[in-house]
Amino acid sequence: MKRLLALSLLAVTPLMLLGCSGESSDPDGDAEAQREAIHRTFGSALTTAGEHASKVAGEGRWNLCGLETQGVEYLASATVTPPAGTTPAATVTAITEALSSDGWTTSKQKSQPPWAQLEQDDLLLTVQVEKLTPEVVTMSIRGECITGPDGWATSMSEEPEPIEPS
Amino acid sequence: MSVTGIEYNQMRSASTGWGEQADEMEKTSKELAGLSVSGLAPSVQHVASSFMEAWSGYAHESADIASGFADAISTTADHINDADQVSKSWLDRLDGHLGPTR
Amino acid sequence: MTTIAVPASEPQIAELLGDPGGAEALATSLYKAATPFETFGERASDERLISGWKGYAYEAYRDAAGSAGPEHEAMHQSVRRVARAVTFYADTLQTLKRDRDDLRDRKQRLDADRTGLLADIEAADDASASTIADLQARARDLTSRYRDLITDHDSWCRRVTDNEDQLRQSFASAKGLNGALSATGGATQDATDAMNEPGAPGGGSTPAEVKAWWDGLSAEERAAVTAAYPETIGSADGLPASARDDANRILLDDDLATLGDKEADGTLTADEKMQLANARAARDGLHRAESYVDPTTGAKPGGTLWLYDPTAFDGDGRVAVAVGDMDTADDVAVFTPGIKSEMTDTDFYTDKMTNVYESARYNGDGSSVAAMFWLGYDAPSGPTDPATLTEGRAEDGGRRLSDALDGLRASRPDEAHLTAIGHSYGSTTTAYAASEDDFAADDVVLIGSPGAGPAENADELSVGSGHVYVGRDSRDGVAMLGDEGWVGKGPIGLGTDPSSEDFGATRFEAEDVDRSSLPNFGDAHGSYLDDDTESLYNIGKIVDGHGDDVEEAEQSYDPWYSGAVDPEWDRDPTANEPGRSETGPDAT
Repeated sequence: MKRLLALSLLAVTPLMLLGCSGESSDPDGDAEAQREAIHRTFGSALTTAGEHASKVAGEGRWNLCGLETQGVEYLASATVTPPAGTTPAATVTAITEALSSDGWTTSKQKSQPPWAQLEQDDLLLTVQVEKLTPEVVTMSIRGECITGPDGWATSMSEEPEPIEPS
Repeated sequence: MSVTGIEYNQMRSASTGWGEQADEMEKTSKELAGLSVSGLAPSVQHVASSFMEAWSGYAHESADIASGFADAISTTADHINDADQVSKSWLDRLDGHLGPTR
Repeated sequence: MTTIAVPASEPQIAELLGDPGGAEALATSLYKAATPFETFGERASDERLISGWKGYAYEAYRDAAGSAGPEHEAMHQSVRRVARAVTFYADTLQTLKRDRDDLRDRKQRLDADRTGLLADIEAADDASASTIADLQARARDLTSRYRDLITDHDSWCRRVTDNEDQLRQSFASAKGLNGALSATGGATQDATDAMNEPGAPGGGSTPAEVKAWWDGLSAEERAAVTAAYPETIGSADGLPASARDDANRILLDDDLATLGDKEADGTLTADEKMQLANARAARDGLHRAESYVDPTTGAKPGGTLWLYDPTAFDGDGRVAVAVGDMDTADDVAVFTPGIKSEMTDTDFYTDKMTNVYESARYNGDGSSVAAMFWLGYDAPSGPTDPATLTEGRAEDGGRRLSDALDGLRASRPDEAHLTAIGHSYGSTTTAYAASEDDFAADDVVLIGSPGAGPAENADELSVGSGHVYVGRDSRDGVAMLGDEGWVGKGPIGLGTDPSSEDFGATRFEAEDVDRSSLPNFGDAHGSYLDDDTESLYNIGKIVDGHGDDVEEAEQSYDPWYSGAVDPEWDRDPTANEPGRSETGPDAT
């Protein structure tokens, strides 16, 4: 456990008073880098998943994040249709194992509901069967929140764009 | 009245402002007259049209008022200026010296 | 021979005359036409004093301009009132159009059933008793459904007539010169009469009295006061959210049209520029709320403009936008933001409300939900604003929030479950509101809190310690500012740290996977309402009325021999984990 001394609190307070909020100095550049990294990584993961699916449909979009300091994160998600005769739960297991063999590290796994999280290059990938769509498997990756000046986050397009297996 | 006087440029500026206001009111008068009420139900259209007609007239009247203000200020400034020039010519003839130079 | 009484196909669905788009365009033109009357009035006032001009002539001019000024200001208001009446007419026409489509669809379905029934009767030559009984039952059911349709159609026709009557009266009342120059030009007699009734808003009436007044008005009177007095109706505590919404949309349309026109002309003042930016932010937020689709049902829960005042607080503005039906939702959440929050942030915060809504629904018990962003107080403008370091704005904001929730409570005939959520400085504001004896919320949630203001422990909040919930990310630098332990932290915080053991609230898990290794004011302080976080999951549970089901976190504590200890510091945060931090579907 971390002991937080009152002294250290006093030391960080002036940072807040000076307006330190972790705002990116190049939000557009950071955002594009995040988008590219997620497209690349997620596209590759979809290729792996595609070997255990009859259909894979992926997309990505900017999602608002933060509160007093506003930002966006890139959110990639996909719907994976299991092959005929295979249950979604078995597909989650198969995809998780395949990704593990592909350089991903499985950090958490549950069987009920079927759910797994894997890590690679600071990205967290979730593979699961969601309760609203139990007939398919979903995969998702969410980037870190990138903050920018006032109005920047809401100016980013929230329209989805396709992500193809790569 | 204990004080009288004008600042000519200020009056000119005010007059110009009222002139512009008159133009704006005249434009509004025409726009109101031309507004379409066809988006309203027929039962409302008649009174809506009467309203537009009446208000087009009010805007026109307002344009006259603004124009009147503009002219009045401008004319007053000119009158005062003229009177000042006349007075100047009289006062130019005044001699304030004493002695032989007078 | 057996007779089966098949009802006639009725009613003939009446045509709806008038075009909402055309009416809206007329309203926009009228807003534009109102502006020159306003500038005339202003010019007459401003230029009554022409610098340097003195004397009898000046006095005569001054007197003339002195009477023209107020007259033109009255004319400006009269045209504006008529324009707003046209906006209300257009909005209502749009609703009536939708309702007519519904009636027509119902009629088509009934007619199809009727045709089927007739065919079955025709085919039933030698029918058995049970077949005949079945056909008779179908005929009776059809008769009853046709009767309901006739009733609904009659009611729809009355609404059509009322809508037209109200607009006709508005035009008529401002048509003559006396009406044009009066303080009520464009307002119908129904409207002025209703506003003079006891309990009308604006005269010191309580929310309960305002509610009773509204309940006593006819549909025509309600429409009339909404169109004629939208400023008063739009902010009247005690009125149904839908009534406030109708009025505030009129004001919004007015601002967008009037100020948009001035912007195009290049005549916007600095104040008006801020007002227009605020109006556009409200429009965008409202649009976001209206576009949002509930993933559990696939339906749009709708948006409400509950408060709209773009000129308040020196141009920062006051606004409240809700996702969901504030009049009928079983669970209602009201969120108060912290420093830096201005009306221009409405769109962003409305997105956060969709997150709260979704979390409560996705992990909920099926009850209906509404979540509202409430910026009804003057939030400090940023970390360097001296107001951030004091509790004055929070105290004032607390009173305003308490009044708003009183109004919300009074507006509902039922006992909705009401949760007040405050973030950062807004949590101190919420604590001030909750310290009032009769605070109307059932549950209080404080997140990223720099201190609980006047309350030294959760029992001092009127909801009771069992209904006070606190979310604090262990790296949140702002949430470390509150006092805990016997030493405290001097003047740097805004009261007791509500996540501390001494405070005695329920602390829930609120760690963010991107919290970083050191205390900070970025991710750790700003992720509480982000999708698929522990915090949003738990807030959803509380909003849904199941605070007992939150994933509890151990409170921080401050032993005498060292600094404060946060047991959450070493725990691995989760994200998107079912039953812990999953707050909505990933697949769209």
